[in-house]
Parts: sequence; C-alpha cells; structure tokens
Amino acid sequence: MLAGPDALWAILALAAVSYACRTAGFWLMGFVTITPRVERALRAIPVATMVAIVAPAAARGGVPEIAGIAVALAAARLAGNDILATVAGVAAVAAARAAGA
Amino acid sequence: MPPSAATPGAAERPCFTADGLRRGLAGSLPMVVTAIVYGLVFGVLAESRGLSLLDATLMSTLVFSGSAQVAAVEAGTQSQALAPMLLAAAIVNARYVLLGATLRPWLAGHPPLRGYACLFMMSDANWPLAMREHLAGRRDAAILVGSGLSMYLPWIAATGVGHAFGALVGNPAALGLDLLLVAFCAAMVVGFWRSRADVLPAVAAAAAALLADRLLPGSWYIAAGGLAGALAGGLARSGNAGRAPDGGADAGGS
Repeated sequence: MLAGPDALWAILALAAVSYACRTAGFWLMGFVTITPRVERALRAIPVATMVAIVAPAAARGGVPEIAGIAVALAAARLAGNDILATVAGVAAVAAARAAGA
Repeated sequence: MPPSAATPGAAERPCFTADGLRRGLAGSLPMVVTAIVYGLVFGVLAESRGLSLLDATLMSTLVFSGSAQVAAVEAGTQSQALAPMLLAAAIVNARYVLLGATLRPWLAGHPPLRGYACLFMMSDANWPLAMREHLAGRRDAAILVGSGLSMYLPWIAATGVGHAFGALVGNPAALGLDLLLVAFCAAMVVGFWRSRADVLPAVAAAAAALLADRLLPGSWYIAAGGLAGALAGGLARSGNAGRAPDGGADAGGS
C-alpha cells in the first residue's frame, strides 16, 4: 500500500486519522468526562502496541533476531536512551548474522 | 475588573502572541535532537520498506507522529489492505485523545478554528509545556505551536536525510536494518514503561498479538495487541490506583 502507486491516498488517510486522534479528545470533552477506567485503558496503549510489534517478531525469529531484541531491551534499561538501544540492537543482529548464527 | 479575572487559571485572556511562539520554540529546544534522531530512524526505515523519498517526507509532514508512522509503515508494506494500517495508526495515537482532552479547559476560550489548528502541533513532548502554561494561568496558545514547530521542521528534514542515507545502504539485512523497527519498539517498551500496572496490559498485548499473527492475515496483530492492552488496562482493578505513588517512584528510578 505505502510502497505502491496508491501511497499518496494511504498517506492522506493516515494524516486524517492522526489529526482526528489529536482533536477527538478535545472535541469529546465538550460532551463527556473521561473516567479513571478509560484513562487507564488509554495509558496502557503505548506499551501494549510496542509489545505487539516485538512479540511476534521474537516468536518468528531465530538467534540473531532474539539476540537483537534482548540487547535492545537491556540497553534501553541500562542506558535509558532508546536511540542508543535501537542502534545496539541492530548491531547485535548484524554481528550475529555475520557470525553465522 | 471583569468577573473572569477573579477565577483562578483565567488570569490572562485567551491569546496568540509572537512572544508565546518564541517561548514555545525555546522551551522545546532540548527536544530538537530527539526529533532529528527519530526522523533519521524513520527515514531509514521508510526507505528499507520501499517508500519513495517524496512519500516518506510527505508522510512526516502530514502525519507528524513517529510511533504511528512506524506502525503504519510496518502494517502498510506487508499487505495492500488500507484498514489494518489505519487501525494500527489510530491505536498507536489513541493516547492523543487523552492529551487533547486535558487541553480542553485551556484551549476552550479560543476561537474554535485556532484551537483545532493548534492541536495539529500537539505531541507527547510539547503537551507538558502547554499544561504548565495552563497551570501558570497563561492562555497563550502560541506556546503549543512554537514548541511544536521546533520539532516539526527538524523532523521533516531528518526524514529526508535518513531516507537518502538508507538508499546508500547496499544490503539492509546484513546490517540488521530489517530489525530496526523491532529493536526500536523493544527500546520503546522500556521507554514507555511506568509501573507494575503495565505488566497485565503488556502480557495481554503479547498474547493477543501472537494469536492474531497466527490466525489473521497481514499486520492485524499490531492492532489486536494494542486493543487487548487497552482492554486489560481498563479492566484492571482500580486498586492499582492506590499504589500509583509506589509505581511512579519505581518508573522514575528506571
């Protein structure tokens, strides 16, 4: 979709979705109150989405992929810097593949 | 004295000034480096998944959301279906619904068009600046636009540079670049992690994503995991709220 001839339409649709998310809460607050329960649900989403991308990749992956994920997690935890952790994870994948793992 | 002046938090009339724009730009300067690095990462990823340079920079210009764009590229290059890609982006950006809701009291006194235009610039990084402005009794909406712009422009430029750099990379897999997104998301799990209250949603998300990956085509697993996490977070015992200070200190120390 994004890599094909329809990419422009896909991008415009994404822009509309993204802007709708930015404005929906502001608009809705004119009508309803966000309960603590709804707030907890919304707050859980960033972690959940990241986990949803990582878990199947780990399940599908071999040694290099799992090593890369483990290194990225550990580096983020130790260094507290997600960019550094991303680079470390990718480097671990490259190193494991170069070593023939 | 107009009656509104007696209300706390309404010390200033809703306005949009050049001074607010400047204060916003200055206030988010530390975030410029982050915007550049995320832009580079997204540009490289977009190139490795076959997006053109124009499409990648256009996407950064119009969507202006790193995590949603990453999820959309992941979903939108694995299949031709539009729905799972849009749903993935909507789920990643669902947190903006909450942030936008909290800005209602601050932006409500402005002309509606101005409020909705300013919200385009709202992100995780400049939302706290707007909230601080609100708590200080200031009503200058330009702070949101100024602080957004100082990240928006470097973000777009860095996307283009990252894409151009990505094209120079011969075999992305040998450099591990096909795992770039997954490694980035793994790091973001740690970055987003706040407390023990995150355990249940994370487990639910992993279980749902693994199940959906087996049963459903394409990238529905991302949306399935995000939704399962939201449900788990919402259904969790409210007793967790009483332990929030503990959890908060925990997350702060990590």
